[in-house]
Amino acid sequence: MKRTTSSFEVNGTRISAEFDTRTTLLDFLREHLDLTGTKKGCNHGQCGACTVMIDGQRSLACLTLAALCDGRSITTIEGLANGDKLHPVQKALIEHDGFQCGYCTSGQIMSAVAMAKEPWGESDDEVREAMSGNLCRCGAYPNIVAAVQEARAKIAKEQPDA
Amino acid sequence: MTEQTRVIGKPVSRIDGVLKTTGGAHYSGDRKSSDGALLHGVLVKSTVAAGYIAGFDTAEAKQMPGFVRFLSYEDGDLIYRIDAPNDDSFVVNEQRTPFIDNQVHFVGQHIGLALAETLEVAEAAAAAILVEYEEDSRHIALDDEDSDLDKPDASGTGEALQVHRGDFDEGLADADVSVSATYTTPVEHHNPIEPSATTAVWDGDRLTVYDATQGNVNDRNYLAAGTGLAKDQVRVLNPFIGGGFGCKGYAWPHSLIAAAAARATGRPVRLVLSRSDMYTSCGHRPQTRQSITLAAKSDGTFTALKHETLSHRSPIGDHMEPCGMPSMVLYDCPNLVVTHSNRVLNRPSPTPMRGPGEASGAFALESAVDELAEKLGIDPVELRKRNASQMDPRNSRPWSTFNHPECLDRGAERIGWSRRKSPGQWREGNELVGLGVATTYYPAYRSPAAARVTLFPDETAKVEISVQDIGTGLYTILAQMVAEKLGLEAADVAVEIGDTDLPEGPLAGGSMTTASVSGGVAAACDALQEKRAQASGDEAISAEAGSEESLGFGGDNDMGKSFLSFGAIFAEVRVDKDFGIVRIPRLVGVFDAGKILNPKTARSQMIGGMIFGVGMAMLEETFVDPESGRFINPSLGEYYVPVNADIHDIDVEFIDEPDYDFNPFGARGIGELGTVGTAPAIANAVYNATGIRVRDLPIRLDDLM
Ligand code: FES
Ligand code: FES
Repeated sequence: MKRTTSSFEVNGTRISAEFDTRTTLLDFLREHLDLTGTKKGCNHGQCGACTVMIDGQRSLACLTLAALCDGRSITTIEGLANGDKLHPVQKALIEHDGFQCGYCTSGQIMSAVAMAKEPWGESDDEVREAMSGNLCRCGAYPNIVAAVQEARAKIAKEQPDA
Repeated sequence: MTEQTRVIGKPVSRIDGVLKTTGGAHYSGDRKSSDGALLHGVLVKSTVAAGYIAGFDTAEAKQMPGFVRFLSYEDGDLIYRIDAPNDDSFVVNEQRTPFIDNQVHFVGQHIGLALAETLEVAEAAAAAILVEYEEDSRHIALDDEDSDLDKPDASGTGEALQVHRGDFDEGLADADVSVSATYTTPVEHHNPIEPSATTAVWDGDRLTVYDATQGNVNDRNYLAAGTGLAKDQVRVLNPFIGGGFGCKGYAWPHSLIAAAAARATGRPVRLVLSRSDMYTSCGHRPQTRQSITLAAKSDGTFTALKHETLSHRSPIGDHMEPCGMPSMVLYDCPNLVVTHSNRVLNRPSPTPMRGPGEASGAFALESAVDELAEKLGIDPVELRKRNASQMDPRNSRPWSTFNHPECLDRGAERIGWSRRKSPGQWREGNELVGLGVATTYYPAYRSPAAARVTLFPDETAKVEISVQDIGTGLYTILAQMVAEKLGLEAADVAVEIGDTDLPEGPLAGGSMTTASVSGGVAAACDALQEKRAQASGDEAISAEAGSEESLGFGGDNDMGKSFLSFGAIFAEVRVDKDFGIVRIPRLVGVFDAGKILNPKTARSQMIGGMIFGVGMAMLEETFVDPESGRFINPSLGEYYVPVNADIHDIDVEFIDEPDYDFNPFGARGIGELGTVGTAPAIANAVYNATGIRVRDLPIRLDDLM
């Protein structure tokens, strides 16, 4: 068993840690930092439940070795709200009932937050396509699309240049 | 209760919404582990379908730093022999005690558990353990005549499975038109996004288990039996469950294995199933082959119906998929034969999956009704209305509410049924367009439930029940119920569920939780109101009460009525003429499910149920290797479930007629109603678009080219 040391930033906090070289970012967040909001649905890059942002881009934490995150900045679901003030995507998801069991929800939210900055068109079909890497077995898709659309509009209004 | 409600029936947003959108909802695999107290377990599963374990080679695993222990049947006395199915304190679909002996019954059976200080080491160790087998002959195929065939008398919900009513042959002879066809449905897997997970913690002779279960009380009783403890020495906690759809309904061996491992090592143990573990550890919807003969007079009146089902069970399981159910209740038909046979195969144990029997059975029956309508030249909506059972055909009791024809009419209106053309006649560009309909239904069940309600001096309240919210919105519904009864707002009611130390409620299955808790919550609130009248108001007051009522199982009750929800599903499909690609731009569902307590969460549940049906119609199939008995595609990359881009407009309407005979809040269950009729509605729409009748699910591109 080989071990390695890395340091990166998680939700704005600098972390230096020593761990098994096999440790994925997902297991590192969950098992070492107790940041269990990021979920494991498949561990194979097939469900999107583990979606986090690495340097602002959405990434699958189960397919990312923690050791390869050295020097990077990671945002998880726990780092999204500003204190008690929810991110527009979180708020819109509650309003539109964009989840049922909630297990895919962290991944859906991280994906939606990241996609708002990606060059997608405005239609519902574009959102469906952009969000298709995040499975929801409860079938909240139509509500997720409605929530993402509302949040995107709000974000665009609040930060016209972003 | 009067029909005027203040909080019930309002689209209240989920009260657990903030927790679920901020990562604050803790599921069974989320217990803190950074302190190093936990051991991680990884299952070793059988790679042969039948035989005996001759030995384990654990040498390599044992050398791994951090490896702790390997458990198997060689430590069999760790687990007490469970007495399923005779111990009526719990229900399981798999009746064998895990690790009881060295026999192997199917590929994927749990034969060992590797325990280590970290997940990485546990995974590496489990992969390094070599197993030697003495193989036995195996039975894999549904047609395997050498394996046993059961003909069970009754389903898990007490429904008769071998039914003869009237004289089928006479009814067939009387008919002007008949159709006979065979329909098949494949193995399907629930695939909740949360894999099952168990964290077991011992404290002296008390056991606490965080378990991803749809039935915490059932799970507790199973764990008590398997650990030799009294029920009150075991506590199961499941405040959040990441979906279930049936696979977390009954108790399964992995929970007991984790509990035994924690006892053996004196350490808390966490066992999170991998996605591929999920395919063999907690059931699936079994494969079915259904033969249907349906006959009618030229005016459409049904005269004879035969529905024969062949499915399968494992050598250590007892699930029978009751596909004939819809044929027993949906239509008036004087001459009926329903049979069920179950082949015993060396394949993993099936279990109920959203609409068990109803969904697979409705695919066959509702396709046959469509075929008959075509042959008769009668509109399929009309044919259903003409034959809709006005009373429960099983016992001639009136339905508690009856809006089956109304659902069909409203749905037809919403989808624009009058646009429908003859098969293959509606073309738009390169697409063939079609509309299809199917009846959907689900029996209404109700189980005993107790509840404790507390009112605080600041006019906030708390309700406590040992039930679980698997995503249905139960947290919110409970808050609404208590708020309604006590004159508060939903936001003023704290809800504590997911803990077997609380008053006992039912398992989340059979779409019965809301209806079941209604009685207990109403009774507890009424008791509290009495105390409140005499209380000073500066102290908290509390009341606990329960309802022992059990309704709907076996279709029997002493109320002189039958309880069942009807609905209608309509689908519009567009099929690419050259490539056979099917798109579903619009689905409409109209449902009569009693009073809708929260239209926001109920709509979500119906949409989710219909999407489940889209998967069944178009995508889902677990392939079985006919030689080895192995599931070939146990992953979310190769077992396709609907993704966001597969889903377009889904329109939901409720009749919203309260059923106060069923429970004090007038609600019937809705969890499975959306799923049942969706696959046949889509298959019928595909027929209408293309003229091609697909009788084997899922519908594939090559069926349509
Ligand atoms: S857990 Fe990473 S994609 Fe499924
Ligand atoms: S909310 Fe349950 S999987 Fe999406």
